[in-house]
Amino acid sequence: MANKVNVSKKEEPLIDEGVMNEVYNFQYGLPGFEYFTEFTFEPIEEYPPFVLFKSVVDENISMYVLNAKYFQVYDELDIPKAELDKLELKDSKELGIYFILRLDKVSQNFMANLKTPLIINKDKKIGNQIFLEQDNLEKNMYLNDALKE
Amino acid sequence: MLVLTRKPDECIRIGKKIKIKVLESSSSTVKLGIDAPEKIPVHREEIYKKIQRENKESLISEETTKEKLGGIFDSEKDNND
Repeated sequence: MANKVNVSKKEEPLIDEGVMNEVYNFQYGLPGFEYFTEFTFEPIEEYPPFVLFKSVVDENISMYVLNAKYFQVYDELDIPKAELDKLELKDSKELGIYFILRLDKVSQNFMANLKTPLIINKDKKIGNQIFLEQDNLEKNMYLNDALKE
Repeated sequence: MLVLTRKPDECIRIGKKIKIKVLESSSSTVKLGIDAPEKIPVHREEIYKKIQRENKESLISEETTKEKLGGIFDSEKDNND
């Protein structure tokens, strides 16, 4: 994948301004929320670069997400061409990849399933949640272990 | 549930645009080929259910206050300002 940018968690936070506060159409919703098709990404001002991903019609459908560029696996992500075609991408610069975060109730630390990112076309404002078949991606990785140093 | 019996190389059509073909079958597994419009998501059921469950667990709740995002990045603003 082109346009790889290494982003360390010690550097200035990268907020993809072009993505924020725009309405994205997820035609088939997300698994579990199939009837919700319009979502926005909003920066969490106090805790950059974390982002709030939420339904336009129901604010209770909201999750924390983080740009995949912060993750060690970013350079290894291999998005299938069929998934990229669904997003009608003309240029890899238009591609955005975000991981959904969930709180592990026992450890109270955030985790991410690296196999199930959100992928978006920043230009056409459309997105999907995909499943990556790659064996090298962890299904349940603590954020502290998953991020680049 | 509609139940249909098919042999290898036989197909099922769903509507005008979806075709499912039995490629191989053995005593314990069936290999299927699926022709569907590329925009229609196709998942293995157990994987789809796992993603559904995880997405629901990812919803922000009273327990997942944003303060819990603190301390992960050095760049966060000093909230005492």
